[in-house]
Amino acid sequence: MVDFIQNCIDGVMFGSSYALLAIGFTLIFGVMRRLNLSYGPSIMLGAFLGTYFYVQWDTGILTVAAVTIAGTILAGVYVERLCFRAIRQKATLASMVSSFVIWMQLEEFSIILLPERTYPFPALGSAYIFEIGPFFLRSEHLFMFLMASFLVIVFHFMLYRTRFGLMVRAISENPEAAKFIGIHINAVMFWAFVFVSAVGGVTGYLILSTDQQITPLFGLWATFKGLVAMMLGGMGSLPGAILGGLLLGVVEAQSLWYLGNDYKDLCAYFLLFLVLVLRPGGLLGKGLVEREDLAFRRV
Amino acid sequence: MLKIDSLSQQFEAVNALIDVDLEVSPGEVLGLIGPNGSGKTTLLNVITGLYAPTQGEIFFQSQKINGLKTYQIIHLGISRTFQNLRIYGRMTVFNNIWGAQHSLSDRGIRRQFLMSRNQKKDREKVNHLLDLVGLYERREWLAKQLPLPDQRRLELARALIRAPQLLLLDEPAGGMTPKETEAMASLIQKIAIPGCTCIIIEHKMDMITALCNRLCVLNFGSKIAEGTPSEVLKNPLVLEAYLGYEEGAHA
Amino acid sequence: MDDYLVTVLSNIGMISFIALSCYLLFLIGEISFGQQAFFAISAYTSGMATAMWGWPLWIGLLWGGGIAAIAAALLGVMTFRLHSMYFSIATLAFAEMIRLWFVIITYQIEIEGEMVGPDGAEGFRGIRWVFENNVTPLQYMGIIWGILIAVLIFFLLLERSRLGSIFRMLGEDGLLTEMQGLNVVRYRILASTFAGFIAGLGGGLYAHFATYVEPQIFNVMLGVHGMAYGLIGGLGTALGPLIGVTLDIGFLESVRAIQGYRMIVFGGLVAILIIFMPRGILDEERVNRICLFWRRRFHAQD
Repeated sequence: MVDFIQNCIDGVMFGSSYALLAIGFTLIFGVMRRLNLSYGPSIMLGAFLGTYFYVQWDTGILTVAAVTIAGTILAGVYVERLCFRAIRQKATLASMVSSFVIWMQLEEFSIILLPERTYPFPALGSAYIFEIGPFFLRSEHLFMFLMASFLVIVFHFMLYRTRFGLMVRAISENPEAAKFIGIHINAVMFWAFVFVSAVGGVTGYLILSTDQQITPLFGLWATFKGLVAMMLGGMGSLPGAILGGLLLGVVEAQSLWYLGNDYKDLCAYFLLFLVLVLRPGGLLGKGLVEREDLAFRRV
Repeated sequence: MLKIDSLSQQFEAVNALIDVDLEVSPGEVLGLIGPNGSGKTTLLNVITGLYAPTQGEIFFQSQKINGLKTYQIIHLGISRTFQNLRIYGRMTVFNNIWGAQHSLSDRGIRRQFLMSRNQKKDREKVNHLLDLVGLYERREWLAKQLPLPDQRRLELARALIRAPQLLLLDEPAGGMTPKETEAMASLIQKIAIPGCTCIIIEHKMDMITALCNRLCVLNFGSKIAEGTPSEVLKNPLVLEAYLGYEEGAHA
Repeated sequence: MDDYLVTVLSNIGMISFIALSCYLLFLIGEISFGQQAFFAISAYTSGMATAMWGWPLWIGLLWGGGIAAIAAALLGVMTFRLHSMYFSIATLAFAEMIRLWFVIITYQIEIEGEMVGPDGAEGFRGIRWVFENNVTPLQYMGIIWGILIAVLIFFLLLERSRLGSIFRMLGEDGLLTEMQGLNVVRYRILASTFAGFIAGLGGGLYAHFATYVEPQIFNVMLGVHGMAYGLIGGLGTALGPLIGVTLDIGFLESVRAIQGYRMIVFGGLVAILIIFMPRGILDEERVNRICLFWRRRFHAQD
């Protein structure tokens, strides 16, 4: 029982980073109705740039963080221009495919930048292990959780308390109508992408500084985690993304403990597949699939 | 031929159809009219099985069809066209129609795969229909290359290739100029009406009065009037629904 | 024919199977990120058939393809309600599940003192039927292309048949197709099954070509490439994916100058093509124009 709860704690801690990744996906999907499969790779590119600075010039952690975020934003803008802006609004699948393909580009570019398989990533400080009763809590995990929670609050604030957020929500409800009330869709989408990329950069930095290393597999990994978490909770639903992320974290932690490392990812994918087949709208987001379904059915 | 009993269709918060009763006799041409959003297209959708009605029943030739899958309903002898025009733009004009009759000889996958021995007969049927609607010369064009009135004619031909007993036309003259509308009306008169029982949704009153021998009026999901065109178009409720006031000019 | 050319042509041949598998699903209007799963399933099962049970290659290939087809049918049954993005992600999840499953599974038997069989992450070595039966690389290339041409003939017949027409109708507008009285679900599952079989043939051929497979090979990259080839070459004809494969493996791979940048060029190429030619180089319109052109040519000669 102790193990189970310990795993839940670990799962929630790590799941908070998944939740952040999922929120990034959700925002783009919510606003543009398209899936940005290059999200993970753009974060990876930013992180690779950050590590480049670290490895070449031994810069401090703040510089690395700044470079990571800047790099992610740059990559994000590139993806936005090529895969999303350039393709007609209706062709959602084309954007998805395009972004998946650009992932190849970003990954190769990262590898060219840093040809080795693994690179060190600066840690945020020395590790410290808290003991609360029979449970352990690593300081870097706790920090990640707190930062993630903070960022979720920032997201929420942005979406629900700022003018910009209002425009974003208007567009996600009804892009056509938003155009007619004077919202510059292209500009809003661009800045939404920038914002999401920035948060992605921070998320990547948090995850990698906990791991203390970065490999070229990170891009795909981050995309998958974010995607699985988002779809678990329900596409387009912000609370769904958070729930999905935490749930994914817990499922991973439990399967890692009880079944071993080999089964960890398998269980995650199995859960995703199950949710898609049985309840495509995700655990929370029933509305969206029905709307899409009706659109398919609309005559 | 078609009997609808207390049909209701609800979508979350919207009552698209409220307790609609309707009967269509064989050979009739029924006009289904009403303002936008009154539930006309929804009615067609429910008949063809896109939605299972929230309440009520539909009988086609004494067989209950609500709850059946769409393709099963079509098999019983119903065809329809769409308000927003649905054709296979990436396929040729010929293939659009040819494709519609595949399920008529649905005798298993092997037959579907090998070139059917009736190929010639089928092709002739398609070509004949294409000729009737004036698209024979352009049968190798991609459907999306046709101008709108011709696309509507293509849709009509596609609906007719199955020789349906009940034909549902949803705004067959949508987007057409008065002259094109007249041509469409006479086409429908010539090739559609003789063989089928029809339900036609339209907003163009000239067309409706010319083609239909009975009208049914929906407003906000309920039936508000039924009868011959001259009766219905003088009905104050109908005029109010369309025009918003009792005294009406030519609708 | 020099060795390098034989290898390149063999690779083009084998990858074409997965490209054609994705193409078939494109025809019914779905994007699959998971056809590599069937490539993998067949690679393993046909390898087991020949290396562990001593079956001849032909039977092994059919066996592998058959198992893959059954798996694909199952996937089709489970995903018949899913469309567009949901379908794509579901196929992705499925493929990764299969791949991770192969990382876990170990099934070995002892043959002449050696352990033979899939060994989890270590992969499956010793699929040596080709060597044990003295098939030269050139002959094997012939086998690959022979089977590939058979598959192409299948597609040729499909295009002219009612079934092909039904698939294309499904792809363009599933709802409209149901409105023509066709049981959409049945045809979706059928297409999935065919696609699984085709990918399976390729997988079996690959396993015997390389004599060794490991789960890593059958990752998302493989699937995305397969899908991209159709988008490049065109969705109007089965030759489209082949053109895509040839472009990538034949051209991009061979040109020394872009050696380290192949992904960047490939990715960029696909992304740009999606903007300007969303259905590839040989899309339905172009193919239609070419067909009409040829037909007029023949009539003019009469």
